[in-house]
Amino acid sequence: MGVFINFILATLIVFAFFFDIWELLVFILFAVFVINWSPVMSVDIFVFAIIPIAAYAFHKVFAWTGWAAAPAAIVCGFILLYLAIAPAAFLASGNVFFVDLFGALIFGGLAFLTLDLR
Amino acid sequence: MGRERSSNNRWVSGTLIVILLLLIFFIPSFGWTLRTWLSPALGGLAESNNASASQADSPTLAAQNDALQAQLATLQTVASQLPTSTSNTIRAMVYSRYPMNFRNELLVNAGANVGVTSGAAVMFQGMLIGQVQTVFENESLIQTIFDNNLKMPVRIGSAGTDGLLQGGADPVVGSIASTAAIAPGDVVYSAAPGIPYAQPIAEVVATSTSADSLFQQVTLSFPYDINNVETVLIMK
Repeated sequence: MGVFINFILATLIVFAFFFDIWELLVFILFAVFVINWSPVMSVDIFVFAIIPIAAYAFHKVFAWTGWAAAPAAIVCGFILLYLAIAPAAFLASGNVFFVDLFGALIFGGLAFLTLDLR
Repeated sequence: MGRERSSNNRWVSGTLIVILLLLIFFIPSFGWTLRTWLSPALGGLAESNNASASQADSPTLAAQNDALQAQLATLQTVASQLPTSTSNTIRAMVYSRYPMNFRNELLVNAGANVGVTSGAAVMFQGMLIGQVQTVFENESLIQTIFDNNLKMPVRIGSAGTDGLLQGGADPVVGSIASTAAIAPGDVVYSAAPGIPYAQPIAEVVATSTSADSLFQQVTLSFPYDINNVETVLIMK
């Protein structure tokens, strides 16, 4: 039944390094609006929305803009996402996490390069 | 000039944030519609539906085959105990799906307004695909058998061997007595409280021994792709 790759989360984390907080909030809320699958807001979606904001705060506090900053933020963000939402599933099926993370790193890297070349 | 532009950007962003918050909390159905338009999987489904009749027939025939096998297995063992009444069903369209890897849930467009109840069985092409988890006024959330958190008592084959279905990306049936005779092709059917008995779920592909060597476990095949399920029947 496959593994869902979190391209959207990877993109939002990369956006945290290029946009100001107001623009980032617009992107995050638009993503939440599109991917929310339930009539009521769930913890999963809340965690999903918080992670790019945390990446933005991390970027601002440590002023880290090197090429490794976005991939490091994606790795930390995905670990946080999995541990916060389904720690048991994270430990039981690590291969799903690594496939998800690998796809997100490639996509996030391409997004970072594209925005960095502007 | 730059400060004025920045101020304008903030006004635009602020306005968009307010609009998106209103949409998220008061009209989430717009998001489900937008997602349906954006989803390539749904486009692919539409194309495949138009592609050829033979492709569409294959999973249907396999599902019917499993359904017939389940009926046969039931008749051989518990014919006298089968309920005689026919079940009423509610047809529902799938609005959206859980967007990450941690669960497998479907949101459908039937809720308490049409009599959906929590725990009701959900069918697709004669196969049991899940159970209603949460009922809203106009929608219901379905936990499918591909959800990591699902555990359901089932029976296998004409002997009615007991097992426990463990949901996930690749569901398995475990806790099967080590002496039970199970063969590839045996049908797995429901035996859980709250769900009509003997609803077909899947077919046995292979058997193996559990890690502690105390039980058998079986891997399963399904005659449908849960990602392509667009309409379901909810049992009343």
